[in-house]
Amino acid sequence: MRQFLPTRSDEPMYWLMFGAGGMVASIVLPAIVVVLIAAGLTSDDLQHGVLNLGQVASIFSNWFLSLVVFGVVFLLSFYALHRMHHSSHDFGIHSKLTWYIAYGSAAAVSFISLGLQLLMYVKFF
Amino acid sequence: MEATQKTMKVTVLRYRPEQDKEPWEQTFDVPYHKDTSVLEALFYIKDNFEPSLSFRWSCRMAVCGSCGMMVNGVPHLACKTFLRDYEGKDMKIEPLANFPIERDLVVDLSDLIEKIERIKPYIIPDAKNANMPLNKNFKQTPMQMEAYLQFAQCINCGCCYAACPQYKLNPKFIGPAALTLLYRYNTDNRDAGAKLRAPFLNSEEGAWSCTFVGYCSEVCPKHVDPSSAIQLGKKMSATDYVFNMIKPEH
Amino acid sequence: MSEVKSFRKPYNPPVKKMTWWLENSFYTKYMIREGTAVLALFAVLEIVFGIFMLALCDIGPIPTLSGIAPYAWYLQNFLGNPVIIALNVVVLVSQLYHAITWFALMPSAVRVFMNKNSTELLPRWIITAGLYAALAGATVVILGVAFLTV
Repeated sequence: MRQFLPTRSDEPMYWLMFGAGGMVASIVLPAIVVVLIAAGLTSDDLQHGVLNLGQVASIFSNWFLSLVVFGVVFLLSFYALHRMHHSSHDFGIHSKLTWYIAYGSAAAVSFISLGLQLLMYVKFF
Repeated sequence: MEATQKTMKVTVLRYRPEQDKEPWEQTFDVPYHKDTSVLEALFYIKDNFEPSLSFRWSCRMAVCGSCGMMVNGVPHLACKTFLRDYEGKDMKIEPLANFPIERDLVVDLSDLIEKIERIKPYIIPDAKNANMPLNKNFKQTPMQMEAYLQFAQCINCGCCYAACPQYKLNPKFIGPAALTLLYRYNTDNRDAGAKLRAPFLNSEEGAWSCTFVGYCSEVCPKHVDPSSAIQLGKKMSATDYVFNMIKPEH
Repeated sequence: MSEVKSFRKPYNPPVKKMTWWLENSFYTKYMIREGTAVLALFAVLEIVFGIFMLALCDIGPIPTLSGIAPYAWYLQNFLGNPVIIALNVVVLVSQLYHAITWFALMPSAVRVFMNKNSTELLPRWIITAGLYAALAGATVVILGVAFLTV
């Protein structure tokens, strides 16, 4: 008797990225947000405040650190949008459109970051 | 001096398909002592107040899985839930959630049974052992047994399906008990049938409908931890996916 | 075949597709946990916005005030804005909640035995503690680099 077998889902690919991104979010994001808050609080001092121009220039002129920043942006955006896409189902929204919006946005954010970082690397350094 | 008998206000959801359009509530004052279970409260109601009240039960000791029902909105086994833990509150007993109600506290569990049967819940030996004589048996070390034993404790009570919001929102989801049993057989070293079970695990209705809410593990009366089995099943499925990308089977 | 009429009429209770998670505190905490992803997305967008403003700058051999105006605006008028600072504090709290729930659940996905012949599983608390140690270590490194190289 031929049994109707269900098709394989492509979910694993997105789940693995979600897992990596969730791990990154839990390990480094709290510290990064503290840095962003500190940068806001010390923003009056453009020379020696947190995330001053000299500091960020030295990050984005270093190809390795720049790659790390891109990796974090890439993984975090896929993590967050994957979770939001599944949450839309939990809120009763059952449209394939959320899949395209979620992963499309994640890809867009990643590309934009990559593009801007390459532009900076070429333009300034 | 006799102590006054404690009573609890117990509301039960009733439904008689031949008479009722919808379920309705009926309330009783049930006397109890420190050992009275919800099942015993239901016996008291049936014996003294409402003979037509219908509910499933069998072993009275949390091994058969018959008496799953909602107590104050949480899935429980009636024989293992005690009125003393609800002292000072009212108790509401409803049929197990996410299943069609047949009559009173009896639900139609056929979807649960079909899904458990679907995932091939039996040892599928490899070619070498396929025709092992009946007077020979597998030897299994304690660790080989430990690898799957916890997940084999499921009594098919359905509490995990009542707890799972993904099953509530999508009844096509294979569900916690079936996926746990799938994992149980995949990790049994006597079994070689993982490939045959893979389509069910890897499908959208398989492990990938689960979002790790974790409520199934919270309510499981046998501490099987189905949500853990499903996450481990996701890892199995993801590994299989990556290998299939690198070296496709077809 | 039996000629007895069936009186079965199974009743399917209505499913609250949008508000089921309000009925039960376990479900509500789950939705909050999932909701932290929105704030994580906000944090990512903040960072990319900063990268964008930095890329707009004109950093020649001698940086001028007008040349670095876009990034200065980002620091002073965006990150420095009290509303954004308050929002970032909320983001911080939400990401800590994400970390706490993530670390608590990770042992469910990591089921390993102590050694090759043991029937004892690696205890859950060790996995969770290891992840907290990683969080602590990464925080020390990131904050150290951020505050000591200004």
